[in-house]
Amino acid sequence: MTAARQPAMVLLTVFAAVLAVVAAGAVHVASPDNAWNAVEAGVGLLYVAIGSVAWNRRPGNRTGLLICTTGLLFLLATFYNADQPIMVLLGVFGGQSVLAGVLHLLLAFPSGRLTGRVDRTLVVLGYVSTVVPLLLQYVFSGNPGVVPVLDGGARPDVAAAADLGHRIVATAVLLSSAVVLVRRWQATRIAAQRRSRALVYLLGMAVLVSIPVTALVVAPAVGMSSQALFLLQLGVLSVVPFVFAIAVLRGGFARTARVEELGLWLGTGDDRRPAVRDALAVALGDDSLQLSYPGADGGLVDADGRDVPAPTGARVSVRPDPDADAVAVITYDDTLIAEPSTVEQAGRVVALALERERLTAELRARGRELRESRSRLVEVADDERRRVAQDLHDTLQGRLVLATLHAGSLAARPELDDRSRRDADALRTELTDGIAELRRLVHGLMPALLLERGLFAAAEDLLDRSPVPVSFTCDGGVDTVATTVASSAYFMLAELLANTVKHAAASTVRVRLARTPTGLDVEFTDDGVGGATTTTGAGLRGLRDRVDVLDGRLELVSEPGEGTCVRVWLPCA
Amino acid sequence: MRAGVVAVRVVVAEDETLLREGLTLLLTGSGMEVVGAAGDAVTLLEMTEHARPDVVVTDIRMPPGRTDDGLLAAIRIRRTWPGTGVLVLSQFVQRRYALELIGTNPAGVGYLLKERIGDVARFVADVDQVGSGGTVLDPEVVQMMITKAAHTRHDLDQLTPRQREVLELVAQGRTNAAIADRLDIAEKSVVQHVSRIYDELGLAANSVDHRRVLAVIRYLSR
Repeated sequence: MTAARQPAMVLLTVFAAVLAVVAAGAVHVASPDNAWNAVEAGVGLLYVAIGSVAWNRRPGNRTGLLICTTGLLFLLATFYNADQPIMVLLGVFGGQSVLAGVLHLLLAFPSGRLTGRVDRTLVVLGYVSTVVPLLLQYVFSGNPGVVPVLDGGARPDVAAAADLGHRIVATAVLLSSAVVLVRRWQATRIAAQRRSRALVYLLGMAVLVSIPVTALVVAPAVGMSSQALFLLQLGVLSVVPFVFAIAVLRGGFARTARVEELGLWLGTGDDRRPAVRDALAVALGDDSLQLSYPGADGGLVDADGRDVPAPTGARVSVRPDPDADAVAVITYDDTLIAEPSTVEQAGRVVALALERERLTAELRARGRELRESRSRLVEVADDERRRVAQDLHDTLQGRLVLATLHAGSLAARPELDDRSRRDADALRTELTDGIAELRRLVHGLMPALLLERGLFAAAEDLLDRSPVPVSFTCDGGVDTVATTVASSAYFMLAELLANTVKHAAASTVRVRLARTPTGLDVEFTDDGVGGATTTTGAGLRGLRDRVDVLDGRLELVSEPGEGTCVRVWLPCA
Repeated sequence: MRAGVVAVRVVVAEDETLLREGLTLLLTGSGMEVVGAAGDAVTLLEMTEHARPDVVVTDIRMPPGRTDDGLLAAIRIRRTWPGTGVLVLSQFVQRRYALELIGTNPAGVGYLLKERIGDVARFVADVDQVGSGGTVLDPEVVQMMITKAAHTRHDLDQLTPRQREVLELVAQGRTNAAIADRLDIAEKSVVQHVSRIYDELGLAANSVDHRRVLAVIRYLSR
């Protein structure tokens, strides 16, 4: 049951109960022995009960709701036997509107909705033709029990005219409705639906005709007592809710009702539409229903694109048309739904929605794969930097130091002449410069301190070497972050600092690192010229890429003339 | 080099075999006695304990951890055997490592870039200086300290370029004589420069070499 329907049904039931209690109380005061009234109230409650069941089972079909409201009219009719003038008036309206309610049900069958101007006109006329003449008769009856403001005095002529008008209009409405229904029946092609329509239309019309006929013709002819007539009419009317409820739930329209249900779901705006699984579960009446989608590698995935095991139990593949590939697999409880064709048909109705769902699942899976592979690439790149830096340090740097040692030792030999000594010294100086060059290179690849001491020490060393004054604060143990996060944060700081030094003409820089339970905050602020963007310079774009790969967030505020502030958050449990 | 008949006793620690042998040769050839040559930090500590050398020359990145094992061993040696001088060599110099190494006592400590061993005479003199309680800091790390200090301490701006040069050499642990030699000026002028620098920066004059280094380094890292 959807959340919106439940309160409405509760309200309706409570309202019906209140009406019944009020009626029972009022009537009991007026005439304690009036048992007929209880029977009438019982029929009203029967309408409400059956209507509720139908509405619950077919939430998208209004027939159940209409049965309920007709039941409320019945309950209103029991007010007739109270001694309060206003209640009597309400009772008159309620009792007479019941037939208009039945007509309404008939014309709205099977969806419970009136379609087209003819239907609506007939139903409105149905209600008007019963209520208005009655009101006139009531007003001009001269009866002492009439509500004072509505007392128009005794005008038998007006009352008679109203009765005549009522008969003419009601007969006309009934005949026109019969014509409409017959045409509708003729237009129905599906055999099961023709049967349903025939049954409902015939029984409904019979009920509508039987009420005036029994009252005006049969009863006077056979000398029937008014109580007997009342009981007969109630008996006939109590058939109505059963006929409509069964026709909607079990008859040839049951399947259409499911389709309609899903059609309504499809018609709902995207943002308010519940998930396709829920819609199918409601339409098919199986809460355990599950959906899965064919994945890229032949397996099945869920709506998020994550691999799921092949479902056990009854399952049906949904295909938009018989030759197409399956777009989804519906797993259902075959003790609740006997016929796989029922599920297949429901699936076909929402096949396009399922196809979209499958594509979304595929997209999500691809997105996740892409992110994972990009993150692996960054990790691989960092590992490679680390390896190259380590190799250069272990081999080339050591060799060059050894070479300077040899050159130095050579230069120190006492037997060397001045020229050779100068040459040896020059060689050593060249080598020393080479080592310094190599050191800068290795440092740029992966600073030793980052490997030896972690992010805090490496960041501190980086900022120590800054030509622009930097104030550096660090909250929490930032050295507990993952290696990828640490190196990313370090290289971001290096990039930002290089940018500031090169372009910003800043006089101070503030850097803050903070470890939070979920990640790492990196904040970099300078008081330079501003105007930096992540879309133009390659450096800041690279920064954004790194943040994206790690699923982090980047915020850049850099108004021209107001410095640059970059806030980065990198997730890290 | 120290005068006298007893040779300076050195333990060398370096994981690169060729470089370790080269260092040993260099020091032996310069009249020092290499009483141990270690390839990792653990062996370095053992050899130091047994041989009790005058000075230890060690690399930073060494087994077993291959990170800062040599530095940690050096700090431990300084704490355990205060009489042993420690000269740390590294492919990189960092302000943080320099400060950790010096701690509160700048006597008998040195921190140099590895390639400085190529300037053989200078390097041997540095080993000797550390072995006899002196201080030696690499020009690059001193440069970093001064750059950083200048961001916050504007009295450094008051120094003349020559005074800055002298300040750097003082921080490197050079004696007045060495500074005079290096800058090709009279030792008397060095003394004058130093006292003017002390006035400018508000430092108390101190004649003991390693004490004045400490004063300058404290000033720079305040």
